[in-house]
Amino acid sequence: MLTTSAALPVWFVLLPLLGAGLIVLAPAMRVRVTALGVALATALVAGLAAVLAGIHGGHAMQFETNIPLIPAWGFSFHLGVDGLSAAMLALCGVIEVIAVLSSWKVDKRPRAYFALLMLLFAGTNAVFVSLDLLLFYVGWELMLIPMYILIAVWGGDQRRYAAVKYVLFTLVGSLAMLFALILLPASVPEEGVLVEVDPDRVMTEAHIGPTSLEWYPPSAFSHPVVGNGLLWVKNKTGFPSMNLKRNDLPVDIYGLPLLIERNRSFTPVQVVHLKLEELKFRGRKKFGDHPPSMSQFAGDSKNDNLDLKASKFFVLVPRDLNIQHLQLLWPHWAKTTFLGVSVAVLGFWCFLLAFAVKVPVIGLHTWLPHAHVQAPTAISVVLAALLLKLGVYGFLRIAWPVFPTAALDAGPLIAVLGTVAILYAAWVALMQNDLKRLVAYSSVSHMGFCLLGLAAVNVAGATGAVVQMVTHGLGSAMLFLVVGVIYERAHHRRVDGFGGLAKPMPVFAGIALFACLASAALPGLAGFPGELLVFLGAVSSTAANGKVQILGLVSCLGVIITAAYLLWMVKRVFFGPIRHPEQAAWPDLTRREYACLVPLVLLTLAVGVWPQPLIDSITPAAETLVRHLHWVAATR
Amino acid sequence: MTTPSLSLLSAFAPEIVLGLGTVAAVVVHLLARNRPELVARFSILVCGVAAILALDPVRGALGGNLLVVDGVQIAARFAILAATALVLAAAATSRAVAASRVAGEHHIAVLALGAGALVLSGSGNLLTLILGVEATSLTAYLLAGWRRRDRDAAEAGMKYVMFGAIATGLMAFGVSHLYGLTGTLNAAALAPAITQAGPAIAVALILVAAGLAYKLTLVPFHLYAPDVYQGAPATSIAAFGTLPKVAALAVLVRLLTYTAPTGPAAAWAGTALAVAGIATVLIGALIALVQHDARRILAFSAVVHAGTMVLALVAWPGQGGVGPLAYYAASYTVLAIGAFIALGAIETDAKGLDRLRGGWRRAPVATVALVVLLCGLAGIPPLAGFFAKWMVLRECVALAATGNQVGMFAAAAVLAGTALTIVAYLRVLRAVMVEDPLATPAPAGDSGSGIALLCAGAAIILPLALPWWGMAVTP
Repeated sequence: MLTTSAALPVWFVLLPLLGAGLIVLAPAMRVRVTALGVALATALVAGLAAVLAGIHGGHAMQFETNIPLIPAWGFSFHLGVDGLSAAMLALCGVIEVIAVLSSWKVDKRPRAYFALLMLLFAGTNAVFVSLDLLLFYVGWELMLIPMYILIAVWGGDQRRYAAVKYVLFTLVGSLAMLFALILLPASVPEEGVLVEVDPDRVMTEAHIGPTSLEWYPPSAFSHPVVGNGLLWVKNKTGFPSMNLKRNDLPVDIYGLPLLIERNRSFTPVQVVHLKLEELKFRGRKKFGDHPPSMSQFAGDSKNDNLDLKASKFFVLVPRDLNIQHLQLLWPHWAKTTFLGVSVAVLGFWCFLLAFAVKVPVIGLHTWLPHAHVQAPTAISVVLAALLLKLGVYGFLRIAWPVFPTAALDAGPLIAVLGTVAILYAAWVALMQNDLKRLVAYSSVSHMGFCLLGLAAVNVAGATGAVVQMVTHGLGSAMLFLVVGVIYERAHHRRVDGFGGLAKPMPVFAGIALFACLASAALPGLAGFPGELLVFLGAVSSTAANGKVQILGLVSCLGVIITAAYLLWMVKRVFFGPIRHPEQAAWPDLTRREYACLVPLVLLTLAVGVWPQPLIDSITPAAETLVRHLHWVAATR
Repeated sequence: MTTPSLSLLSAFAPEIVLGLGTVAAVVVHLLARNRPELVARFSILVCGVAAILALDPVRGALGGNLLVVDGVQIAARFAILAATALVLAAAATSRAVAASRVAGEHHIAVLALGAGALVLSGSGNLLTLILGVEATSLTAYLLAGWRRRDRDAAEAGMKYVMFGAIATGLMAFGVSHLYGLTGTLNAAALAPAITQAGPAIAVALILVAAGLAYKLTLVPFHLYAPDVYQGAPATSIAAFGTLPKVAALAVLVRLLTYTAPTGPAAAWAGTALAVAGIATVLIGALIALVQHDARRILAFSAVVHAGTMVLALVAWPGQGGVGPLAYYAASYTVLAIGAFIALGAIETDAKGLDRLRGGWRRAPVATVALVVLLCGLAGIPPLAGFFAKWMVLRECVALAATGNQVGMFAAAAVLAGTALTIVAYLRVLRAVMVEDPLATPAPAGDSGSGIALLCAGAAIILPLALPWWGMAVTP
């Protein structure tokens, strides 16, 4: 059912798609305005969804829409927002408007440019709100060809080479993901799998109420465990026939009826003697449209026959592509093999490859500098601020929670790769003479922090990784815009081709310095909270027998190198004498350039000074993830 | 043999309508000598009537399974009729066709190709198998070579005839062997003889398979495709690149169901399909990578698609692959017809990929259609081609999950084929979408943008409807 708020993620995905159509049909003079209008509308939807989701508490999925598309494959149009996606939604909203604004001067085939840009946004947005694996993949692939064309048509001199390289790298990853996407359902028997659920997850995520009683396929009732007359069976009148009184309410988690083990058999968890009206009242009072959670009723005197704290919970997970269901199946992946290889390991590495290319993890990063250098400014902004985040988001949403055993095993390797990225890419950035290459390598370096935070397996690390995604999104967008401003005037990007730009362009120099300081994690600016949280997470991490702590300490060096390459660049480009006389007459920022940069400056300042709302909205989701991982580590 | 009763004829109404309609189209052409577009309209009408009659199918079989209406034929009819109508609609607006002196004959040949495809797809008897293969081949030769003043087209027609004659000759030779060894032409009656397969039967079966492989452009019988596709007119490729394939796939499924439903013959058939499919996918995709002509790239991608479609049956004797195959064939038909018609609308008389350069300026609608259709053929979600690949991959991985490594090889081949063809398509995409037009003013291409756009729209909409339809198809 589509309620008003559930429509938010739907519009978040559909608006850019419709926008692409509108742009194709718009009169030639109105193409840019249409694009800006669509981007602003999307940003409004995104901001609303992010703020509401943040207020509601980010641990659970909000605004869920679940429309089955092809039930035989378990494929549904399933969207939702939690703390992880809320932060990304907000970032998407901001960056997409900035990207349209900074493309204002594209006068080569503008209609095609903005239509493709909107398609790219549609793909990005779909990935950030998808709760269905196939839908996630659809969004992921939707970006491939628009990005290729955007770089290949509107890019620099070697744009075709860069575009093909981008496609080749992404393609290998996404085909691996496609394989995993087919492997997972193929490894689940048709009648579903009975798995144990973490009691903590039940307390925070299970819902009370008749949200979905009918998902089980008829074949499930011949399941050896469930078919024994223990589960709901709908009778003719539509009421469950199993000892269920009118006001008794079943408990479900992610739409699946929750089972409890009693006398070696499984019965549905019920909240008995609770009047429906009472539930509605209690629910509305505290949660608005959202069903109340189990924790509200644990220890309730009326439910004394349910000793929830001392129970073991189970759930029969069907064969579908719901990401939340796939998370519950982790013991099954670890047990099942495909041609002699554990499905957990195979699936994890397939997804890891797909996401690692996007992050990019060091070693798979070589497409990035080319793509960045060749892409037009706005595309660089989108690439750095949004597309790289898709990789880390994929880790957080799919690779880690769905395959926790394999992820925990690979954790140390990921931490090492993250640390190497932080140091090596920063070192490489130090040597760059092309401004865009410098910023590109700084992106690789900063994304290393996300990996390190993830590998720390604690709340600080995971929260830090997400905060770092947001702040790097803001920071890298600013840096690429700064480079764009310079390039528009000089038509080259060589660091040694500038000097003393602060004299003709004082405001611009100030903003550039600000962007660099934010990127170098100066306290009070956006880069700081993310990296701080990652450090705190890493040095307090118990993962890999505490070896991640050492990596955390080592990675601190990265901050020093980052400050070095950024400030050295600022010194050479903006300060000192004017070395090229024609640059003395350069005008300062235009109004359009102000419009692009000032919002980012303000946001950077806001997040830097008062990061708490951001952290608060992310932490619950990070807690859910980390608790899941810890439970897996304890019970595997 | 039983005598076909009159009521049985109603089961074959669409086939009969198309057959009689082809004859009637000749009469229409005679009566309206100067108005070939009337022939096209009449032919489309015939397809429409046949499709309406096909909406309420009656299952049945002519004596000796000469013509069969089963689940496969019920599905194949729609694909064949829709494809015939699409090609006719494009041909009716084609400037190249209209400018020739044989426009009317061209439309009749397309309709006859559709009728032949229906006979082939409904065949359950070696006699009608030969008849169908020949009917689809002869009309295809005509369509490839009708622009006889055009050296490329003439060469394409010639090559097609040479290769086709040899392949159908081999098939006829194999059929005569089978008849001599078993005394029957009814494919359903062959099963007992095949289960006690001697070397002579095996040779005969391989020869019959060669004929089908030629229709399907499976390796090594794919060699004619790139040369023929390069020279033939675009609307013609749209016709003979899709219709005979659908029909051959349908008859392949039926022959397998009749002759190798279980037992060692079925296992042998499954292995043969896997080997043929994997070889076709990999060889086609690798060669597509080094082509410098859009039509040759699409020809080799057609080879890859044919291999992928055969791999849908990799789990044979498991019949779960028939539904995916039906969906794949139907979506490929729409995508390929659209792509070839769009190519025709964009191409100039330059050489190689330059023929497409600057398509975005010259023919923007056809270019948008071509980009969408290429993405569909490449298997980019959420377009029709993606769900087709997805369904085939599911079959392969499901087979591998039972511990059969053949499934894994097949899945790997499909994935590798997908990656390689996407890279090959990038060349086309780049020529048509990225490159600026050549300095010399290029003559405008053929028309047909509307039909291409229709196919592109179908590629976007079909994923919502067609999986249901496809999955319901069983032999």
